Amino acid sequence: MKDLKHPHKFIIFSEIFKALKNSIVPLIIFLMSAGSKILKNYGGNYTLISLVIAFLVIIIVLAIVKWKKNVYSVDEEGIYIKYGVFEIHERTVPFSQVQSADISSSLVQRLFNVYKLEIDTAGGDKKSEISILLSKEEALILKSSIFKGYRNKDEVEITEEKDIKTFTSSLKDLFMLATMSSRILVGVSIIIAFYSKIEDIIPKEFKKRAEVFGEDVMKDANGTSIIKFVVALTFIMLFISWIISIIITIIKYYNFTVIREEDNIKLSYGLFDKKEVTIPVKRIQSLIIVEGVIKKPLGYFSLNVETIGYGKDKGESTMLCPIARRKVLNKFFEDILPEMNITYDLMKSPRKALKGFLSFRLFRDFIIISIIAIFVPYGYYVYLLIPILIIWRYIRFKDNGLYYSNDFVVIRYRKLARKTVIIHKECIQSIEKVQNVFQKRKAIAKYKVTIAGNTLGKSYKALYMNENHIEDIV
Amino acid sequence: MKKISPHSRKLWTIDGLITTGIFLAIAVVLNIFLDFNSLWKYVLVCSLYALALIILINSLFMPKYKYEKFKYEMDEEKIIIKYGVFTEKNIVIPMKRVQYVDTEQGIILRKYKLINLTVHTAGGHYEIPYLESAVGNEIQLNIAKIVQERSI
Repeated sequence: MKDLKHPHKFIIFSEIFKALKNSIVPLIIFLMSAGSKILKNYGGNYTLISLVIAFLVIIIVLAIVKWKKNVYSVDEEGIYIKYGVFEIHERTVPFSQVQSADISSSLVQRLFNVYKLEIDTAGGDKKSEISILLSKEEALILKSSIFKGYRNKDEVEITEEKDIKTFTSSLKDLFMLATMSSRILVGVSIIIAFYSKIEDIIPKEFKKRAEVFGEDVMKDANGTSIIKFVVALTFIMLFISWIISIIITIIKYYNFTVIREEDNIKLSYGLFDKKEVTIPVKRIQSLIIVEGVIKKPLGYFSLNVETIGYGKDKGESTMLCPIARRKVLNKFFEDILPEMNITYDLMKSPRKALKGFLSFRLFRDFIIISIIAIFVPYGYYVYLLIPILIIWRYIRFKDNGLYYSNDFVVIRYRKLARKTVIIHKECIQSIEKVQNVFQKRKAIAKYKVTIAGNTLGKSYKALYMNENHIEDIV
Repeated sequence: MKKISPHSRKLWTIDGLITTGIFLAIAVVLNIFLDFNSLWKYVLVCSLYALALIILINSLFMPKYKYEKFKYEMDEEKIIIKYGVFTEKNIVIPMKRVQYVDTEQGIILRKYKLINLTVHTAGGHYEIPYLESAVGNEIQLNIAKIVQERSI
């Protein structure tokens, strides 16, 4: 007989809270409209109040029943869950099919020592197959039993201490991340949005006074001081958004830790909302080293992995490391991912391809620029971008690279950030060589390597390489 | 390298003519019922006509070259598909990664005893169109056999 267990009682509160949150607006509308229309001889306001109370009672009873009906059990093979009040769902997920198990908890949940365990399989559903609220201990035990087969508590603790390699991002690195991320722009937009809100809120008198003050300033001001004013304002804005960005980044990635534990990589990060992610190494399809435009000259990089069946958070790629110094890269590979620790010597795009590469793209750019120039007033200033575009395209061309050995394929390309993708050959689903008429004349081709993705598959392209590689890659 | 059925030329043409017909019908309907009072309506209708014309030309002249360029090959380790007139594509699918193969046969295809074969991998699917039924079914069986052996 299966050993059925209920999830944590906290679920009752969260259900009640969720129901209240969803019904608060209709409820208020109902109260406003029904307000005093109920006749005295039908009980007047008393009826109204009792209706509301009845409503609350229904919500609470429903939540409790929902908790009662929600059971799960774990055995050697898999996890079984049953839930639902009116419609009863039963689901069994064998451990062998589990792709990932995440533990997360919000601030409130942590106060009650409650953690949410979410289990994903390769199935296409966006939502997690199983998500249950558990106490911390239970969640941890369940999670480790998923990835190691079922064991009892003591054994798990022993193995956890055995073979652990960790990697932590320092606070200083997070500062750098915040400084360089595009979140700064988000900060600016928040300030602007906030500013327009402020205009509505502040009292009129104050506004008038401010306007008068502003006019005074403008009267005295000549050209240069206006520029100074604007520059100062911009700096203040950037500074504020920088601080916002730092705060957001630190809250999100605080104490970012990567742990290698036998066949799994565990990530944990977050200040208030602590997140834990487990990625089985076997599921990793490709590893992407991202070198941002600003990050790279400063010697920083970040790492992403692409896994199958892991698609709940932001598409299918998981950040393995938000930021680290270039020097740490080798150590990271040795400790965390020795499987992917390879040396590669990239083949560059041949010189003869440069003309084709540039002319194709610049022709396209030129058409777009011309359209802008014609239809936008003062649009012809856009032509000033052309030298920048040429340089940019040239850099992109220089960064193209392809390498293959018996086990790996490495592709390097740049859109904005330079990305180096390391793919294990076992993971390649198909390889395409694409060659148009002009390229054929010069014996140049584009290679497209497709790996398994969540829904459609993900492909990486190596542009303008020599044409004779395709047979060798597979 | 093996080739697809020579009937494919005719079928591509038929396909193209049907598409042309649809586009032409839409263009004509719009032409009749639309009031031509602004520029974008002219642009819309004209581009529809142009599109129909291009598809027509395409379906009349291209199938010959398309047929000549479409080649495929299959062995124990990989499937190779080559096609494309202006842009040549050369696709290699490792046999290990093939998940399943399906075939389909519409009304017109049935008349010519042809089938379309699609190879599915976890990263996408690739079509080999207009194979003779016998050949296509044989390929499907072969791949199925290889896939099955792999899983044992």
